[in-house]
Amino acid sequence: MPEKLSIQGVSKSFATQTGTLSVLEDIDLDVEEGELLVIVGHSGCGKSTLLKNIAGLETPTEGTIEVDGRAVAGPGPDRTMIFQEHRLFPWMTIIDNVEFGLHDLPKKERDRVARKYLKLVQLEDFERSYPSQLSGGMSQRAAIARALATKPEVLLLDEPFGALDALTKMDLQDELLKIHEEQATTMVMVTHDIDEAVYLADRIVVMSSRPGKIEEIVKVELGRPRERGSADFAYYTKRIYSHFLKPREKRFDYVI
Amino acid sequence: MARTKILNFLEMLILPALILLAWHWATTSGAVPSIVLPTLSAVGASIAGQLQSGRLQTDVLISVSRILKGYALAVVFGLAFGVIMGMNEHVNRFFGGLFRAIRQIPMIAWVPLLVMWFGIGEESKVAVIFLASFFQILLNTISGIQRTDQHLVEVGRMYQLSKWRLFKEIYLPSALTSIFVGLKLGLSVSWMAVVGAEMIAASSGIGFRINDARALLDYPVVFTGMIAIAVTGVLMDVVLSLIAKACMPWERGSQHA
Repeated sequence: MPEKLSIQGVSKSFATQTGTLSVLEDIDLDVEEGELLVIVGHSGCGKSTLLKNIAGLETPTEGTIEVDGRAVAGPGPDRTMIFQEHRLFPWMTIIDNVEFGLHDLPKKERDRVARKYLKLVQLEDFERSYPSQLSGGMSQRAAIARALATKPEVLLLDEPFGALDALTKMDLQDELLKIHEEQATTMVMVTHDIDEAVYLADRIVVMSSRPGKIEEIVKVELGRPRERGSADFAYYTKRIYSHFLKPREKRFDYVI
Repeated sequence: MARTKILNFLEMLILPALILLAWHWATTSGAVPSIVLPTLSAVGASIAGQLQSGRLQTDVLISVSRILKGYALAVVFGLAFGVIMGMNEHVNRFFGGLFRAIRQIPMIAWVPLLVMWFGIGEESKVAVIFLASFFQILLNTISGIQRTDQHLVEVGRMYQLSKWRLFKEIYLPSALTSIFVGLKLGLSVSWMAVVGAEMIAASSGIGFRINDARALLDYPVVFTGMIAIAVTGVLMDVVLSLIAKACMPWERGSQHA
């Protein structure tokens, strides 16, 4: 499969009061068309920064990012991002929020597209509601609909389910997989939830922190739907966890 | 729902009713001489009489029409400067220092100068009202724009919104709550300012009436004037609240000032 997204030698550093802080160091990563890539790492390891650089909201200090062979020079309609907070506009109804990225289309067409995606995330009965009237899970669904409505070729997800309770999270993970299957969108997701990574990913990128570097890329060779309790699933979670668990000192219990 | 609303309203009336009772008792029992505090019935008769002759309405209308002129100017300039200063930090610094200094001068201190410039006619009142409400509207507009959630602005940038659309669709709606706080404060301050200015230098209006009655030791008219000021102020505030509600349908249901 051709590569959709190509990240070459990307580094990012910020100037701070005490000097420069290197957040990303020499990241090389190719993402295939239609792939669901999940990046895991500690909070503060620069994974969100990497997504923002791909989105064009920030520019890398060094290196290039290409989508379909074209260098990213700023935000563009081919990439959209879903954030941990739903970031819906409180003053717009749900349908207006979903239409937000569609400003170039005539109103009728905007409504049609927005309704299609609201239906996809099962919010068709809430188009006239305001975000404050929706639960956290519903708001994040609306945010997903907004991101999909512009038909991005690459969807960037920055811990999209991090603020949700465990059960809502599992529902939305399944919905995301369904959408991924139907729309065949290339997705790059960042999370610190290792179970989530193994459940969703085609490949998992493990990042170390300060500076953010790629430690290992793990291809998850499991069919879908994946069973969270299975031994194969446990194999992958263990393998990812091993990057984050420091070997503990052995403690001795004295029994007298 | 309707019942709790009525009960809530009645709750607000308890204290005024108690004060009226105490007032009535103090004046009729002779505990307070009527030259210091007129009886309720005298004030009531004064209100009825002034309403019948149309004098009270004329006085209030004159003051309110002054407010509308000065306030309208303040709204236009306050919003315009507020938006530009909120959106651009260079403009903000350019005007900010001077505005901050001028703001420290109390309204009353302006009156002598304004009377010298504009006389005691309409212009000086309009100028006082303008000065009183301009800064309230300006500061709240600036802070509303500046407090816009940068996360939401980032979403706007992601969808490549033009500067104008960023303003119209993100900064402005986000600032509306704060802008209306400024509009309300400005209105109440300018109402106080106009009455104050009328008491110092004017030949008409509700403030003039109070001062005039004080000189004639006609205390029922003084009280009538004060009550009229309070009632008119509350009514104007209610009107602005209704406008605010209509402009911000998403705030409906959630409580705010």
